[in-house]
Amino acid sequence: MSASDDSVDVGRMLAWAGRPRETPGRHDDYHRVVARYRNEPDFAATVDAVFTGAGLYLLVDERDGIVATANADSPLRVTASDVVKRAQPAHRAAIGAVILAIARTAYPDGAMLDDPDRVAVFTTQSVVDALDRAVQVHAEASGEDGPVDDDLVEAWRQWAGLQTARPNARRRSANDRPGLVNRVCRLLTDAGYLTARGDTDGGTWLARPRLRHAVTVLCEDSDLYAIVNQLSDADEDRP
Amino acid sequence: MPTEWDVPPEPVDWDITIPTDDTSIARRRRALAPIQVLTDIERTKTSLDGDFWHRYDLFTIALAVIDQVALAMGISAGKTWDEAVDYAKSQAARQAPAADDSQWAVVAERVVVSLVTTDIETVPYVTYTAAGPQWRAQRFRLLYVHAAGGDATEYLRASEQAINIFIDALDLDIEAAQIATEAQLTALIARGAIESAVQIARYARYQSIQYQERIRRIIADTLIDPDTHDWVDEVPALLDAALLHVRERLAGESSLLEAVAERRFELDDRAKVQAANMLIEILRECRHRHDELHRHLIGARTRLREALDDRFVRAPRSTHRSDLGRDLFNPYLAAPTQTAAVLADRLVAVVGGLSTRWLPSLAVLIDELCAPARVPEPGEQFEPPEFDDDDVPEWWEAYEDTIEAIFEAVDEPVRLSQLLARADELASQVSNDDGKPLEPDLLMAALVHGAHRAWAARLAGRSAGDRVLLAVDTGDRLTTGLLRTADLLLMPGWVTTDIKEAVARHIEVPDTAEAA
Repeated sequence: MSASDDSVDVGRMLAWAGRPRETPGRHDDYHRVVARYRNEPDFAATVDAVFTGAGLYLLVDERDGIVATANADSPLRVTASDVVKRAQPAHRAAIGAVILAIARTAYPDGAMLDDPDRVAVFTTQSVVDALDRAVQVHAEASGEDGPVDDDLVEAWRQWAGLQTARPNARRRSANDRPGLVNRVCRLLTDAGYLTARGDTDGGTWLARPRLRHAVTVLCEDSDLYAIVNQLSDADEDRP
Repeated sequence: MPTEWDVPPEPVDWDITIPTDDTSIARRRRALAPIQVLTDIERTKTSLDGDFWHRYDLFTIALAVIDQVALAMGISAGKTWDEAVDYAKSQAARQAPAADDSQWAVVAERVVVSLVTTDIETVPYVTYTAAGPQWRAQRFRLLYVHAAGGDATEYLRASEQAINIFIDALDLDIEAAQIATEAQLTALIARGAIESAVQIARYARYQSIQYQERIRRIIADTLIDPDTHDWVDEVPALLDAALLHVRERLAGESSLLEAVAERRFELDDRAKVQAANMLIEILRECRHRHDELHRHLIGARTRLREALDDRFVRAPRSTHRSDLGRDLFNPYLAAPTQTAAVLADRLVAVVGGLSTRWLPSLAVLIDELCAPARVPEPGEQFEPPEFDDDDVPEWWEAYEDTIEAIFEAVDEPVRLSQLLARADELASQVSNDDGKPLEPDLLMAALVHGAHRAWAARLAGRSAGDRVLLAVDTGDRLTTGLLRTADLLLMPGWVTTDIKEAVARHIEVPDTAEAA
């Protein structure tokens, strides 16, 4: 393999990474580059270097294909504004909570992340219920009103502040609780992690096996852990 | 508590024999639990949207779906989601033939979703231990989605508990049950009771499926994490036992098949021959399933080894993994909005994939631009859209005002050419808002336009006494370097009677003629 062939294949990797709904099983070319990545350490190192430069982290699975996750500062990342236009901090906080709630609903047990055959099926309503329950626990634990400054209000109050769905509504709102969950689910569908299956209970979603790779990245991100648990208060320059 | 339940000691020799012991009750309780799920589906249907649910028996549809899925299960396949929904739809259609397609679809989806969603059913029950009664929770699912094959096609599969419902098995040992069934079959066939044998063979089929499912799950677990099973002694022993079992079943089924085939020639009753044929078919299917299981078992060791190699290369659990609920979800909800907003962007970046859509496609753009304005929900604060309005008049307004003034001043018929001749002079007299005189060429153009508007003067809706300016074509042409137009004759007139909006045009004509 010459150097230029390598470059072409790195490009192929990027091209396939941008088509998350495809699998190597369905395309010869996809299968070929994935096999190359897995069998040729030098090629894999080149690919990783290129992707790291673009702020992307790659997971390559023989069956699920290429799962690309973006760093918080990658120019190729998808942002919260892609979920809700001109999202305010309050919206963003709720969006993050929904993402974590979906991950938790799909993988209630950490060991399930290791099961390559696991396909979780959940409904929009089940995610809303999970969030409502968690928020209820926080509300009972705190028992008092939040701070005045909107930036310091706890994230759970932002979810609690969203409208609940009106029963028997003809038209669905995109801004109430199930509406927001559906928006995030559609983002995940575009990213190839979910498949939409009908409208029962506000929307039925099927988590494809590749979702476990992305959720694993979340679980292994020590920076994320540090910020969520507010361990990084000492150095303020961190995002 | 026991004091209350103590039986009065009256007849001392009243030795009550309980036919079962506590453990067997608990076993039965566990085996019956899945039925609770099906009952719940039926019971809670009244709380769903729509007024058609009473026409459908969801319990029956759910049972039928599980049955179909179980029968379609091989080692690697099952029914796909769409197949299952379609089947449920056909069942719904049978129950309410008068309803329409969309309603059946809603019913079918509801049943499949209720059976498949990930919320694992937890059924609490009580057991008796040395320390007194204790609550335990049984967890199970009836159907689950399983990704199979090279391209991870998703199939629905039935769990062991679900299959239990079909074999009336109250937590039996599968292997023992299968051997018992075979003995039963042999006896029935020897006595020529073919119809009963068919019934038994049906059960046997479910048992084979269940056995497959158990083996598959054990192997899958082992592949995910070899440490959960002792693969030095236990797993190979298990695989050996399973292989032996399958081999025996295969031999047993072959001899059964032969026995039935032999008996078939002796039968003279038509119905019995038919039953025998069915029995042969079912037995063949059982044998086919055991063949599959056999192949799967033989390959299991190789796959196990491959999985282990992979493990050693990649070293799982070498990094600390946070617990989704405890370490991420809960602290996230407790974090201040500002921090959470920053984190949300991080989360979206991870799960959002690559943003390959830098520019929206033209179709999407047009759709978005042409989308009707959103109707605010009742109670929602409505902010009217803000348009950029500034009070600066448009440049052409000065010209329009001027020609309006000219037309107002017309009190006797005048030709357009006469007005145009005065345009230069007028333009220099009138100034626009910036204080500059008007452009004579533009004023002439505006005049021509204004005159042609008067040619087709709008009369409808006018009331008596209104002044109108009318234009008629004289037939002359007016051509200069700038203009080429009909030289219209402009005449002032008055409307003499009210003209209604809906009046047809040919009535307007005499009115205007009179006015002229």
